Amino acid sequence: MRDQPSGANLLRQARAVLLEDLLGALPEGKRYEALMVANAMAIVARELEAGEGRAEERAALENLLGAADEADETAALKALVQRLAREIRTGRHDGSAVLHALLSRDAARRLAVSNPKRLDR
Amino acid sequence: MSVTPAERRLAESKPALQAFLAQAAGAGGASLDDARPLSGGAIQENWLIDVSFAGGPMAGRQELVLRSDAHSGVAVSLSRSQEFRLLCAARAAGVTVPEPLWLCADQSVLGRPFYVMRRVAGTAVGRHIVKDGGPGGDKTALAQRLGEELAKIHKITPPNRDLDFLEMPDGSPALSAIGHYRAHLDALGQARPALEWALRWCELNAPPAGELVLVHQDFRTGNYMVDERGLTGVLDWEFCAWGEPMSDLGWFCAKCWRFGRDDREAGGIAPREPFYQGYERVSDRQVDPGAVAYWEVMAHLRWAVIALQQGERHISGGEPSLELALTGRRVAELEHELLGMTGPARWREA
Repeated sequence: MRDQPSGANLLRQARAVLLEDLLGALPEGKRYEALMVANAMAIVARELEAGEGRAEERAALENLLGAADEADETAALKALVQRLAREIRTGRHDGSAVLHALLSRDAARRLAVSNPKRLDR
Repeated sequence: MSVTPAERRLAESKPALQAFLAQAAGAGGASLDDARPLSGGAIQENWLIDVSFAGGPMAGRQELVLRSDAHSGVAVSLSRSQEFRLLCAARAAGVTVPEPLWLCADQSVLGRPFYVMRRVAGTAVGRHIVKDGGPGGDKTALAQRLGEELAKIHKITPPNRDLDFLEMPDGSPALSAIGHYRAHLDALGQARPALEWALRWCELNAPPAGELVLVHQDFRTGNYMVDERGLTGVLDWEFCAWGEPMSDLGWFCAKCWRFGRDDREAGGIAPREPFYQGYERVSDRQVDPGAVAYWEVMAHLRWAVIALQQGERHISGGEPSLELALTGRRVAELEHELLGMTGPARWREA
């Protein structure tokens, strides 16, 4: 068990201080950098809350490509993604609706972390 | 204020720089009154310099820009001396650019080559320009004007002895670019299925090789200067090559360069029509909307590869930078767009 408040909670509060208290006191030339810092903090907070979802990702990939040989989860996932990239390049999945749906889900999951505002566009 | 390494280097070079400027301007002397670094150049160093010339045709105080290679040069872009020749060619073709003044290839002055141009007024900051009431004057007129400027750039065609350093695509510019992007992904060691999906679509749908013209390859909002009335200069010539004219229109209109104003399809500033009209007013060729749409997919791919490379510069530890790090994280957004543009239905049309 980790102590409370959670890491994500701490980051969100720190970000609120940055945006609500500090930003206005910064010179105009430093505003953009402060906003970049706030953006990075928001990404990390969302990432901490989302988790990695590796088991689901691996299951979806194995469903499409067959089982990975690697025992280690990280190595298996890496090998599956590499195999998929290679196969797409050589034309083995041209126009596949199943693959397109899988890739779209994966991109949406990562976008929900990095920039959720772009999701609904 | 702390002094950055770049500022220290410039200060150390001040006497040599003043001597060069005086000689280049045919002046009795030159005094560097002020030098301020311009942010935003990941590949070059840009300085706003105020120089007082004693005598000669430039006598008096001049507001100039000095542009040099960055200390950590990125090999993919053109050198400053090549860029200087491009600026001269563009100016001769009637393109609105900051007037190029002097090139210094002698490395003993600043430690690396640089050139000096006249400063143009205004701002290039994309997120300000796309705002309602933001700088740039009437945005419909600005889009038209930018179409005209692009058509002027495209009137420069190979062979051209002054521009003999520019890369010539190996066969179809589209297929040649796809090969480059795949090689970059492999070099980064990045397996990116979503990018591979879009690359494969682009490979199957590549337009046949057509006429070759000078393509700017970074002609977009954020890379031109405007003041309150309109355009003051087209910037950032370091990615020029010989290529397909429609590729520049696709880069300009691509959703990833609208700075959040997705409804204004011409660079976040206006609808496409005035931009296309301006282009066709100056060019002998018609805009091919289908080809532009293809190059918009390619634009997202190109930007995704660049974003991965910029992220890697941070990740590798070579150049720790929050901006580079955040750019690396923009790839998900580009992949999301790419998948939206290349759904299964669009493969059946091929």
